[in-house]
Amino acid sequence: MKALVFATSADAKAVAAQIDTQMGYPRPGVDVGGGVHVPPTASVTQRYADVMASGDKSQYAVLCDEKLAPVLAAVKGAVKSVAVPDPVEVAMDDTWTVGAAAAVAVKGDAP
Amino acid sequence: MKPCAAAIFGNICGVGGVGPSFDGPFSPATAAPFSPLSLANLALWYRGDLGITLNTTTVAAWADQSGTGDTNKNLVQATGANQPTYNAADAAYSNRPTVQSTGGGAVTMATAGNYATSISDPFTFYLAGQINNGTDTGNMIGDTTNTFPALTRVGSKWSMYAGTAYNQAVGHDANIPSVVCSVVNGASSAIYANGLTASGTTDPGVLAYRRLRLFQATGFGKVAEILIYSGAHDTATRTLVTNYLGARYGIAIGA
Repeated sequence: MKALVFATSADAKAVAAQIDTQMGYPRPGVDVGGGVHVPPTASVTQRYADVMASGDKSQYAVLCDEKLAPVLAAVKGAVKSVAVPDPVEVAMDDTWTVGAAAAVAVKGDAP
Repeated sequence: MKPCAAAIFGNICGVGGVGPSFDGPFSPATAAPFSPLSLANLALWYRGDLGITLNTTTVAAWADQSGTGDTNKNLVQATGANQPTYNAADAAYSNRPTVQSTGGGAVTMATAGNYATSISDPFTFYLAGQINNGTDTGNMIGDTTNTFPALTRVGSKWSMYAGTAYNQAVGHDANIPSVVCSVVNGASSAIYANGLTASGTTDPGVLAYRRLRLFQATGFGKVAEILIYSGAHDTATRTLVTNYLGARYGIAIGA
């Protein structure tokens, strides 16, 4: 899978936060079909992707799939404090774990 | 088995007549109209045309339809990239909806918390779906610790596992649309694929679900419907539910 890879958790989280902004997250869900549905508050999609940390915590990655491609340029333009790399192929084996998912505000970034 | 009087006349059959209904098509010659709610002790029920909440094309939530009222039985996934895909009309399942993971351990759905009451041996588990992991073990459905998969794949066959042994099905590949039934009942456990009996009779161990994870660990594939009933279903009841799933999704039973 392709991902944006960073050297620090803070950089990855800053870019992930801007990705969420550009892609419109958090997003409310849309109910389809019949039956009982979960309450709207329980079906909000909070983020595009989790920040993943390599086993030795030397790399932090954010998924970069075809859904992200249309807004990647806007993300790069909006994040001033981090150099957003081009996506590269990453083998996300079992050594990669979810890093802290909470977004962080980085001074100088677009809201 | 608790019969549903309304089903005799082909009408809606649910709890108090208001539950999700069967919407066919069935041939009267092969199976009577049936709703999973017409059987007692339905503990969990997910069906692709009921209770789905989408994030555009992926599934953010899948609500339990069992009528138990336990909101911790609803499956959710709050991260978009980890949500399975929704196939609104899957040609491999009689154009019924399916929920699909195309691979990668991150794509999964899990319940938000522990059930108010755990689902313990004995219970009977039904799935209309398939596992598409190559030849490796793939855990389709299990608990949230990746420790106790109720339904998995070993080689190309359906199996269940609860920490002590496998109970491996025969005669049907897990990577094509299947109707699978697991009777989880200690040493009397058995697993059936498309109505065919398993070869093994080993005890898969003790399963007691307090949460459920769909597409657990390396498991990926499609799910059209999941049913879990408390208690061990007898042959007649298994046949009824298996035929319902086979007819609904165009899967040949006994083949």
